[in-house]
Amino acid sequence: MVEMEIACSNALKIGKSLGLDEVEVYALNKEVLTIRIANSQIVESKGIRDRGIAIRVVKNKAIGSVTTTNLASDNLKKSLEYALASAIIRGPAGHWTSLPKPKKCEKVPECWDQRISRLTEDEAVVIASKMLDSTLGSGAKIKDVSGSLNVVRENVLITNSHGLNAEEEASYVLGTITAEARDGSAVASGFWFDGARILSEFNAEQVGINAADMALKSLEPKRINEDSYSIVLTPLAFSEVLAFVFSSHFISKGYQDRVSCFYGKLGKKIADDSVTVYDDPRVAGGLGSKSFDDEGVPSRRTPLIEEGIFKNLLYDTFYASKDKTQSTGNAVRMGNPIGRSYDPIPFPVPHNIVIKPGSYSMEELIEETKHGILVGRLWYTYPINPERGDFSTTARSGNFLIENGEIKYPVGMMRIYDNLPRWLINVGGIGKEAVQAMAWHALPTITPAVKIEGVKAAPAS
Amino acid sequence: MSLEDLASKAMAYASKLGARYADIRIEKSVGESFLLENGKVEHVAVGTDEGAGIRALTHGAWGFYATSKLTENDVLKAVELAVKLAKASDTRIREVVRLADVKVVEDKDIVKVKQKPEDYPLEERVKLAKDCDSAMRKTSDRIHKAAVAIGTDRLLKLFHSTEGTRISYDYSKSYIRLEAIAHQIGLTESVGREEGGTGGVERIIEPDPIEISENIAKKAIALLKAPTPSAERLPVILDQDYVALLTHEILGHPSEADRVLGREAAWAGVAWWKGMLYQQVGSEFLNASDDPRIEGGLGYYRYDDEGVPAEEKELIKGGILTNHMHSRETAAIFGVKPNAGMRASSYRFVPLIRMSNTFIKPGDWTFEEMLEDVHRGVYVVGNKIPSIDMRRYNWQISAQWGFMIEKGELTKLLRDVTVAGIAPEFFKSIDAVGKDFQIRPVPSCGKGDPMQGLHVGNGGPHIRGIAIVQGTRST
Repeated sequence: MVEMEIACSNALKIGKSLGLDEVEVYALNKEVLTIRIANSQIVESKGIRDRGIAIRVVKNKAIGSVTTTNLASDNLKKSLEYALASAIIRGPAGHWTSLPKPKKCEKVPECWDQRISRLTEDEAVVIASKMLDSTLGSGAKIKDVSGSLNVVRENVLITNSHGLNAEEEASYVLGTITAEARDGSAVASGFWFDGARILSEFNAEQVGINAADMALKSLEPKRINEDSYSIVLTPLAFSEVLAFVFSSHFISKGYQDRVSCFYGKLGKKIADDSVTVYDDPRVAGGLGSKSFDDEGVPSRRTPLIEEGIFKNLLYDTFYASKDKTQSTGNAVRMGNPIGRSYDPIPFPVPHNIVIKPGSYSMEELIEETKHGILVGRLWYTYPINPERGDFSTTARSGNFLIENGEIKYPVGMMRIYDNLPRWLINVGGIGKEAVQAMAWHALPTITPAVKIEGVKAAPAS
Repeated sequence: MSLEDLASKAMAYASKLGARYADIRIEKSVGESFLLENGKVEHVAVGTDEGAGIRALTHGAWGFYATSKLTENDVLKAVELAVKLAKASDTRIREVVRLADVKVVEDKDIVKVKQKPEDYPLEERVKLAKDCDSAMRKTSDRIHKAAVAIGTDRLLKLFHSTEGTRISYDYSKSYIRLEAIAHQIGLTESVGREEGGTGGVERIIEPDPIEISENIAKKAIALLKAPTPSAERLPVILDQDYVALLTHEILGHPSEADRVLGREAAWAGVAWWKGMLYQQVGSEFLNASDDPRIEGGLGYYRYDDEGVPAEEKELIKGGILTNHMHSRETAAIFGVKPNAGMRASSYRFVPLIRMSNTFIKPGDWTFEEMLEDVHRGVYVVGNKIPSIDMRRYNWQISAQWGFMIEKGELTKLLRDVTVAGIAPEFFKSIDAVGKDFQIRPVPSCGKGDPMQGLHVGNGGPHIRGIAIVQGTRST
């Protein structure tokens, strides 16, 4: 990190010499190891050591941004000059107040693990092999396994001309398995995900066992009738809805643009009384947890919905100044596959979307369902009419018909085309066990199972 | 040391470490972009990026490592790690990777640029954006927001392989995105339009973005008073923009041979027509190809990221599935000639089989002839957001707007239009293909783990078929 500290210090000095009002220098050092499983074998192991900086300059309230991987002093000077020149052409942002001032940031526990930071390529292959072997070992009917293990370690340093100096190390391990079971002509798939910040919290074998279990139980699915159902979404399935459909409607920028489907409803009831949702980056070991956001503002829990009432929007410094309010600590430069990046411009995004658990066990959610479907995995869940809250998704795996409180048999894929405001009002029960879940290239969530009443579903094949 | 010498040294080092095959991509890029909203620049950003990515095969499986430091030490260290990772993977490989043979190439691949981005300073770009903004907002005070994003990227790239292929690339891309958001009490409607492609400033200023701005703003205002359709299975005429995204999702993606082989099952998905080569998958009017050589298309290239010369890949001919997009590895598995399908979004990532410019080929119908035959249907214009199942079989894609077709004429404007269908049923229902062919920019295609976002070109002419039209689900 010495190289990054020197680059930050140099960039701040150059900024001062250019007569800038404010400078922010954000430096990131990141390594990603990915072990990829396909066709029941490890087909590819890959890594990247990536480091770069992002700089924001402010002169007379005009803001310019630049990012570079070339940290030589002459390039930094050129980059800062270019950022300043572009800021001047941009013109002043009249609402701008200031880059964040230094504040004490409390560490979030269990977000960095020395074992992950030192994990070798060979050790990563061993962990991925455990995921693969536990899937294949779950039964002879498991015929095809794919998935990946991602090991991520990163170190961020944020400095600015107000004396802010925030540094944090982070570690992540993410594992996902998709298992295909075959029995004669019957084919079914199963899926599982586990993610952790501490290696000892990651259960490689269980990822494979659970994926295989879902696939085996789903064999010989029957076709559903197009109908209205009570849908019980497992945490993995509901996580897709939270990440791809729910989150964008609580971001200040979208609300300012009036494209949030909840525009004009701040402070009003938008969900069933049982629904309480936070963005909480201070959950110990949370996949989106951090002690400060990507401009150095201390992280904090922000209620989005409390007992059905729309409570808050998520802000970074820029969009907060537009609404003459304070940042909620949600400036994010989203990393791939997780963590941070050195994108030139941060944007307000939730860190960990957390659903407050309810009182139902999974068994009780099913027992109290007269005519429904248990859904294990959604796929390609996108807001196809975003201003309305309309979204469309495929219930891909782990689908089971529920009749009179009992799971009857597996059912095939189905398409659901529905509406977020309608779903939030029609929550029919929330599970009591919340787990961390994250879909492909999505936001981290912590959610229990959730039941939605009156969902129209149609067979998808 | 020059970058060419660094690439050569890296390849020699990979061979010395035991790689039976290796390649390296060294890149230097610069990108400039800004977003203007309601007459004021919201953000302006400049990015310079450089680094190298090395792929290696020792025995059976791939190893890859990338570094964002272009010193000799860092690149050679990355070579060591790529070889080490390949050896680590080898412990769990059953099917050894074979690469189809290709000719060794030494060449340059340079995108033609009429007007260089560096000769189009930021001040002029901002002025153009302000003119577009003004054209949108003067339309009505119900235009709550006008947004204009303009960007240019230049990429210098070297590809070397241990087989001796050496290619240098000089690519430029330019794009503009326009969006008008109209609002009246309780209702927001947005209309957006993307223009751009490989090339210079000409991709931004042609067609005239000010005229487009005025048109989309008028449309957003008109949509505030438009009804939303009820669910109905109907004849539909799809415009070129809608066809571009539909082709991308249910024809381009399942044509990627790695998906056909199940290698993307955990992420991007699989392909519904696995095992259906040379079978009828659509009507006789359906012909489709992928061709990277189309100048100006966002998916333009002459050599892919394995150094394979680009060619037209004929995917569907007369409704019969004829080929897939291939890497050297999948071409060897299928026993066909490699057809240059491999691309990575940057040096940071391993190449994958990706679309370049994928399209439905033109037919001989005029739009008016297509309309004449429709007693009751919907004309579907523009695309918004897709939701597709993992086999690319069952699809639902929203449109920017639609028009009812009644007795061969366009009548009512429709808002919040979505169209849904089953891929083979829809392909078989195509009964008219227009001659008004276009390649459109599709700026964001995601695939891989970690996810790689990539620009591609997609397109086609107007086409006519049968699908389910639906309106909003909001109450």
